[in-house]
Amino acid sequence: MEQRNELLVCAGLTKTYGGTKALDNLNLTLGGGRFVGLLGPNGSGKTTLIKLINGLIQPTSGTVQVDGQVPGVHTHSVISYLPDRGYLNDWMRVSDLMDFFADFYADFDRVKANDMLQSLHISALDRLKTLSKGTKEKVQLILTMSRKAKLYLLDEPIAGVDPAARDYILNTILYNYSEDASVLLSTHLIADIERVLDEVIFLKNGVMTLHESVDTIREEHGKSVDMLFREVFAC
Amino acid sequence: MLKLLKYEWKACARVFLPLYGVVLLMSVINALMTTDSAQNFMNGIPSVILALLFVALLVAVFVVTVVILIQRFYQNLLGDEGYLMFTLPVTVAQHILSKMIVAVAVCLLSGLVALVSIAIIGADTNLIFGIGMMLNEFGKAIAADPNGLGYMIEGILLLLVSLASGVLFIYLCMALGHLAKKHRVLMSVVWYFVLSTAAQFLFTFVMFGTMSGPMETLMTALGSALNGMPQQVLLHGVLIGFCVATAIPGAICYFVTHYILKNRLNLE
Repeated sequence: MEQRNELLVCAGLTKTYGGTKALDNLNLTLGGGRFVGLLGPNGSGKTTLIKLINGLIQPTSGTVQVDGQVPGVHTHSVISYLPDRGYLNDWMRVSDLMDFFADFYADFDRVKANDMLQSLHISALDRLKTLSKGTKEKVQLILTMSRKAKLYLLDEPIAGVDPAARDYILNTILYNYSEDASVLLSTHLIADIERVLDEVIFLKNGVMTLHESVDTIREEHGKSVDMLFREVFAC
Repeated sequence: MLKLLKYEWKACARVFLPLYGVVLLMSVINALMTTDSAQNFMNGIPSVILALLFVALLVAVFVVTVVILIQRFYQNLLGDEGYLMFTLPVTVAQHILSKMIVAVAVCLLSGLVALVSIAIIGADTNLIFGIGMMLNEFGKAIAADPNGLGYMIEGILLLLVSLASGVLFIYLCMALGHLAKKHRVLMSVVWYFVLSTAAQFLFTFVMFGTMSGPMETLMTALGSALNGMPQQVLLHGVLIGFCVATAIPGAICYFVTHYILKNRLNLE
């Protein structure tokens, strides 16, 4: 029997593109209530892993289960996903998008979304076409974090926004996920997020080289995650 | 499902409603230009230009219908927007069917708008009177022979089924193209030509098959058996037979597309 606290289980997960292995035999179990950093240099398989968990790409071999089920209608309803790209069409207004999310996701909190929009000075009546790239990313993040999901998958949520907004967004992420939910956040900007992480996963050329809690790293290695990362992935 | 339909309709209506509006407006303007004084104005150059514009618009409606049908499926599901659509808690079947239903509706509307706009240009009292007469006769015919209504329903059903099958065929080509690692758009086009040629070949083959050899005797036997049947029954049979014959390839396209999107989805 699978245990109650196993939110995400990857077993032997492998994905090859042509001849190259983007992800190689990954075994990973995540429980609830954890803030996990998925760290690795560009092309190490971070996005591949997140897309596999979402069912947007299919594994070459191995399985992925979220909340006890393979990717499908149920997993989509418990995962709140922020992709590494814009997935919004240009012609909608921000308010149309909120209608869209409210229609499809029962856990979408419109009041929360409106509050966040206001604090970032984004008008709900703006058309997405008129928004800058960074603002669009903020809108997507707000929509993602306004859901009360079990698992948040955030692919590079802070890479595209200015450092001033970064702190606000991190705090937004931190204060908007419920206690039993988990966040899996991929990034290479480690210093910015280190303070909020419970666990880290290091990916190198599609292989998981480390999965430990941040406290253990500090105790055993006697250094910060950022320093360890620079050591492990030194060129 | 209803929600998907709602957003799909919104996305299409945004393009089509203004286009339909312009077409109908142009047909009204053209209709006004048919008066003698307007025809002779500036040697009739403006009226000719307007007429040409109208024809161009009709062609545009046809082209835009096909383009939007393809674009809604490709961009919304297989492009970047797929990241949003395929992470919604809905089934793949709901995605395909909602797109198909709206696409069929848009095809019907485009055809209807084209007919109405042409009717507006040709409209005079005789035509309106004529249409009234026709509808009246039609009503009488249906009242006299209930089979008429049946034929009509079967005809409409046949139209819907063939439109749906056509749309699903195009979806299948895009889904097959999506299986390629590179050049997915090009591969979709290649699949389109390969499959439509194959379908034509198959059709011809079946046709020849029924007209020669052992099939011929079977068909003759079938023909003589049907000869005894009343004409009405025969016509119903033919219409329903056509419906089924068109629905089968459509259903195959649907199931293959569904399998690909469910089990072989690989968004770039």
